[in-house]
Amino acid sequence: MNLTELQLKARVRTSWQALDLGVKIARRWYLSLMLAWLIPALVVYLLLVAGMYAYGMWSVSPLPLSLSVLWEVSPLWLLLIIWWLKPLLDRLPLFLLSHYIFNDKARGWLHWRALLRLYRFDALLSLSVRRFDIQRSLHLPVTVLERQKGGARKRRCELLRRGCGPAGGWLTWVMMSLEGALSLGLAILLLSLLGIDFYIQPTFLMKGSDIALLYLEILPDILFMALIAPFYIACGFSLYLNRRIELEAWDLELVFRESARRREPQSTIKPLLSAALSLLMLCLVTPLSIAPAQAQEPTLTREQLDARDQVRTILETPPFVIEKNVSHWQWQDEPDQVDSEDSSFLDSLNNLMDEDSGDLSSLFSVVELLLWIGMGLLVVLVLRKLVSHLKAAPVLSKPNARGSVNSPQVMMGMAISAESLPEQIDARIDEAFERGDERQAMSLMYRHVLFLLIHQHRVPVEPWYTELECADAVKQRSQLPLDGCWDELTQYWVQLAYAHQSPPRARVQYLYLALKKVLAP
Amino acid sequence: MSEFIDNQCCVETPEGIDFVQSAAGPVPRILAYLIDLGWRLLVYLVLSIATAFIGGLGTGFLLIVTFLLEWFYPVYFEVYRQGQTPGKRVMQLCVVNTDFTPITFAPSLIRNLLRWADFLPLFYLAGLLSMVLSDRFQRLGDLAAGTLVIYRDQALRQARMVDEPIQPLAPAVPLTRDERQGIALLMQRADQVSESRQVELANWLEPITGDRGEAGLRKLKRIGYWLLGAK
Repeated sequence: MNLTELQLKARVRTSWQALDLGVKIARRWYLSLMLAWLIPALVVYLLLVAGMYAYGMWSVSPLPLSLSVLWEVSPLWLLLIIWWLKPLLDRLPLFLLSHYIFNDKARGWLHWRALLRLYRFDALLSLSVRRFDIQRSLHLPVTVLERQKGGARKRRCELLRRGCGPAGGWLTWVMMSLEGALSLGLAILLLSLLGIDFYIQPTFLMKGSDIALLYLEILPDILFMALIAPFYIACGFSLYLNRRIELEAWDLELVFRESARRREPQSTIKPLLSAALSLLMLCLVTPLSIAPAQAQEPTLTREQLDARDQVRTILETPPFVIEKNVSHWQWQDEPDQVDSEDSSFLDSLNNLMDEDSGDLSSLFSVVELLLWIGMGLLVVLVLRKLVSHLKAAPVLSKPNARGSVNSPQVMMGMAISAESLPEQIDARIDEAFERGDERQAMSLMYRHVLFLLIHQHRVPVEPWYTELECADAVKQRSQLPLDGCWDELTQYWVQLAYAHQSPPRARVQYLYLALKKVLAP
Repeated sequence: MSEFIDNQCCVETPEGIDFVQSAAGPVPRILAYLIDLGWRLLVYLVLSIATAFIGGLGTGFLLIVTFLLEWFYPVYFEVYRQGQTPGKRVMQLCVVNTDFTPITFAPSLIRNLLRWADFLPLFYLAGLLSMVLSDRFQRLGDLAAGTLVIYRDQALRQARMVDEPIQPLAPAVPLTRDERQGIALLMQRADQVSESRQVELANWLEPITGDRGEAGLRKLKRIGYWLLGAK
């Protein structure tokens, strides 16, 4: 057993995982394990058939009678015998597997005397008392590989069983069921592929004429046993190995061996040897310029090794290894490390942050101030918007914003801005009437009222509107209580302006005053 | 030398982190299936007794329930119960995607609809063959859906309490990661491994402890105690 050649990944597994590993082990060496089971089974089968035949021959001399003996011994008995011999038949595959698993290529043990010893060891108890041992595959290595008997074997098995739980028993149960499932399933497959009605019953129950067929019929069953056996044996062996790995810490031994091997150059013999060798070489081939380089090589590597260890020692000491307990979650500073290389701004920011925490807090306070200012501006903007909205609220039919703000200064060729109107407008009107200049007086009245309507009451008009359109626009503003005065005034103005008909002075002045009272109280 | 036989499978993230899980093989999965089958049969038994008195309506109801249970029993549990049917929960298995992410509806449906391909010709022989042949014990449905049955993480091994007072000792020479783990594991498994075997193991580490035999083991334990956090 050479542990360093172990083909498994040595690790302590749960017993279920050990079973899974067993499946993989069986898969790797499946063919040889299967044959190691099948060939001895076939040998037994042939021996039994021959034995029965010979017994028939010897006991009663006439041939027909001997055949009748064969008929009476049903082939199922033969199958039962082979099934009963399973604990012995499982031994050779297990033995092979134990060599495979340690990568043991030697085949010197493979001669008939060794095989006989393998099968004969503790065979009687295996076949009698322990035949129905439910954890048989787990206990088999103790018998076959450790070659223990009696009390020692019992104690050993108990020790192995302790850590395995129910896995060994379930393994036997599952594999047994699988054997049945396999034979039934393959029979169904065969029948469904043949697609013919196939009666199994008659050949078994009737004394068929063809004896050979009878005995051939159990061969598939032997084959199915052989197909399942490698898995059963390998799973049990894997369970056994897992327990031994656990109990004997094989995985740790492999680690420690590796460690010892790695540290070997530091032991006393090797450096001395290499130093002596280099000295010798130096003495022998000094003339050759190549010699020193060759001679120094081993010592150099040793120095490198020493240096590596020194570096490691230094890296172990406190400035490099700082251990502290962290019992709460905290943010990692990952982004700093990620972005620092390609972003100079973040770099400087990091530097700023790294230099000391005072700078950091001042930076934060500046940012905070900026945020507050932004917040204040936002509030002011919102308030202004709100106020303007509230101001415009009484205007239900929302006036065209452009019209109200940029009200036209000239309508129908007349200036209606505040500047264009005289200071004492009433006096100027009276003066114009006295003078007989009705056109001047009416124009002043009309322009003044239009000014009041457009610029103070924000009636939406466009510069190209005619008088009647203006009157319409004013009528749309139904909340102004004009009582048709504006319409009448417009009418008088139009008649005067275009038809040269004089308006009645008293009426026109009355209308003007009424309008002024409403529009400019 | 050929590759080691192992039952673990590994997924590496783009960040170079390995996630390791143990794939579950045929035997535990067969047992999990049988437990599920048992539960379903129990439901059928109870329902068939309960609906026996209703007549044709009861038979129809029973058939519908049978249909739903046979097809969607695993789907329901896999999607809504962290990939575990009751049987898998008992065996501490669970179904995940091949990248170890939790299984979703579509893969679960695929792997359970293909259950009947696995079932052929009888008793899941195709599925078993596929499981044995594939590296991660996947049956046909698993291969089609890109899923995997793994063992749920076992509870971590409890660190063994140190009975006798041991003075922690910093190792004199620097240790590799494997060595640290090995020494720490030896500490934790000290109650499993016999004393003489522990001495044998400690002898391998003579370059580290500088002692052999009992003294070496004692020293190794002090180092192990230090590695486990005692200072």
